[in-house]
Amino acid sequence: MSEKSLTLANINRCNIPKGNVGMELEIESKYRLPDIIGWNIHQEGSLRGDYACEYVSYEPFKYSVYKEHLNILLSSLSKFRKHIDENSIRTSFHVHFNVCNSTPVEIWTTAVLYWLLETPMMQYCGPSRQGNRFCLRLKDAEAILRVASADLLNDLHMSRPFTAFRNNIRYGAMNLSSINKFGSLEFRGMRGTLDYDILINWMTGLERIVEQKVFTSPSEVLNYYINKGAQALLDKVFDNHFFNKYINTAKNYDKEILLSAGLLTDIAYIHDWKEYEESINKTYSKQKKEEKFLLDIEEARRIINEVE
Amino acid sequence: MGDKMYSKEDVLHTLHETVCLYKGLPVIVFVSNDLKDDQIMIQYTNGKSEVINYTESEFNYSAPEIGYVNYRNSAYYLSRSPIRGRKQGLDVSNLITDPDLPPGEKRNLLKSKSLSSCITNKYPNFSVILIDIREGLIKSLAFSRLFALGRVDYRLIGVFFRGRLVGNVIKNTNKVKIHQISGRDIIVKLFLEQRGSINE
Repeated sequence: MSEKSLTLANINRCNIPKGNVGMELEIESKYRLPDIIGWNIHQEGSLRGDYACEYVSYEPFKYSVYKEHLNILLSSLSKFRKHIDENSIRTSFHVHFNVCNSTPVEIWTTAVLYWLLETPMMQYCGPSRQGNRFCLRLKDAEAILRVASADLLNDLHMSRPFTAFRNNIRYGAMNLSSINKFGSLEFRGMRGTLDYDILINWMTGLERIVEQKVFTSPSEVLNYYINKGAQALLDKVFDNHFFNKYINTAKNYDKEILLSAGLLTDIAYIHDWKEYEESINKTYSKQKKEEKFLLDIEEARRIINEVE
Repeated sequence: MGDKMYSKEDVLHTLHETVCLYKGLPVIVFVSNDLKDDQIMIQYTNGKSEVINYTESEFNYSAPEIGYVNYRNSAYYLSRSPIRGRKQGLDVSNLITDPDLPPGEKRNLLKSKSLSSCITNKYPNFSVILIDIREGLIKSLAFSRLFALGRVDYRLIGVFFRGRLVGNVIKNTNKVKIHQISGRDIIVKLFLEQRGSINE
């Protein structure tokens, strides 16, 4: 990202939440569950049972403390574990990564990198999460790429980046409609387990993808994959993280990554990404100046009126 | 899958009139009050129907793999949209076709043997399609979930990748040339995987 590149927060004129990660754990229980510090409890319409609920992190947590908060949640729930259906097809664990401080091109790079590795990664989430209507993978619901293309080809003067992702198409394993709603990229793939290690492996794997600085555009991701191969890509992204080895053991991982790469050619080369970023910067810097000019006139009028 | 649902109402909202898989074959599911709690009626594309339990291990309601479908002598590219809805199986509300089909026609497509061939990954041979296009019997047809051939103009037969023109068949041969486009190497790799040979 160059110094002048506008972030999502700059473009949308919103405040940046301090934390990095938000979490939601959906639970179907036969027993009333307790309030837990740092977590809000919500009712969730897609869940079933008398004591079904969703624990939502009170605020986005910083990377340095989210593990601690998750540990508090899971430890508090451990004594109720026998009453909780961890194999329910409806429950899940969602992770929101704060992307307010990222540029649209950085967010697209994250999205393409995740989608490229999604199928083998999601095998980790369990059999009930494959082809599940609440978290469809790119290979299950590739029509999301039509929306992505439309968004990327939108006239920037008419609509801000990511506005094509409306709330009614949020059942992908990666949900891009949360970008303009919450300023976060949501990952919905994981099942509603109470196993700390599984959840942490998943979250830290996603964190590697979201926070990577190696690739600066979607085309760079695909070019690297096609030139160097899947293993080199995994080494670059995950290094010694659990997912580097895990993906190697996932069923048909190399074929699945190639198939995803084929789907992603729709959007990875849709722009010269530097030019796209420049046009975003130009459009929204200009709008900002125009708005400031109008505000200055407004202020001048107010002062004149006061003097008169 | 085939995991048990919470209530009969859930089964109705999630599976009724959607395409799921039974023993690897696509079937349309019907849920009615006449059936017991776990029972559903399934209809195969040949019209035969039977009553089964949706909790059987051989019943699968995860999203089926789709792609090109050869329907009424033309290739259509199918994809699913991740819409927020209650249907788990494939249905008119979550199915997108390219070229676009009206809802009534989509409903027919969902019940067709064409969709069955797509889901079970059965496609006509590349060479057979080529002959039929050259003889003017058809305009376009797919030979895999990802690739189709189609007449571009009176001289040219195009190679289409998921609805996008990416190459052409070399005149008077069975060989294909993939154009110099972005992501070409990936498309060539996929083509080789599905067709076996190519003319660079």
